[in-house]
Amino acid sequence: MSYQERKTLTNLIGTVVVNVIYWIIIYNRYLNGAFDTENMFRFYAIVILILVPISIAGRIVTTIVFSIINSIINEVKGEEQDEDIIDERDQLYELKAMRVSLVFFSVGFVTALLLVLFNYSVSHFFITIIIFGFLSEVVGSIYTLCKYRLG
Amino acid sequence: MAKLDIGNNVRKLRFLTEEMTQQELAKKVGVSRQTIVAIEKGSYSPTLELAFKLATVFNKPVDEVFYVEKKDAE
Repeated sequence: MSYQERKTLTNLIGTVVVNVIYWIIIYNRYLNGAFDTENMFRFYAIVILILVPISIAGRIVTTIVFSIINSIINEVKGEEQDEDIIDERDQLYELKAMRVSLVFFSVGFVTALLLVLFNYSVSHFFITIIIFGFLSEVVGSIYTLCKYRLG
Repeated sequence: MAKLDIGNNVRKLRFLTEEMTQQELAKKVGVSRQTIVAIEKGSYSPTLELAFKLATVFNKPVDEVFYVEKKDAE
């Protein structure tokens, strides 16, 4: 497995772990009545806005931990340290993955709008957007992995 | 026009250029070793800029480094 594949896989795992932990915490706090659920728009605005910096912090921590572990493994194996170069191929794959993610998220957004159209609650709308937002990131990472594997 | 299959002589030219390693070539043209591997395997076609950089390293014209393998003209 190449350095780029390992990095993409680590970011994917990091994203899944951060999101799963975050939503478990939010769900428990929601059940304990920690949020004002009278105004659902405000509730979802708060949880999504908190998720943004947590996701960024999670990504930073994942990158740092990956670099440290990768360096240690290379040192133990006696291999040359991987250079963290982002070249044209990485940028191309990243752009293609972003396009796939955007298409996936757009499908989610349209689905969420359709739910509103068919008189589903605000919660259904936001939950659909959150799920598709998360899945679009996962699909984008898997697509990048496939591109690195298959070219 | 159908998609062109682009082949290359990068591996051969590397060996002819003092048996240069993939890592050395990657460093010279400013890409990762995996990108050189992908180019050699033919799974990635480089941009024009990288193609010229590779040709410059081998001191050859671009069409001696890259060539069209099969041309399915309509």
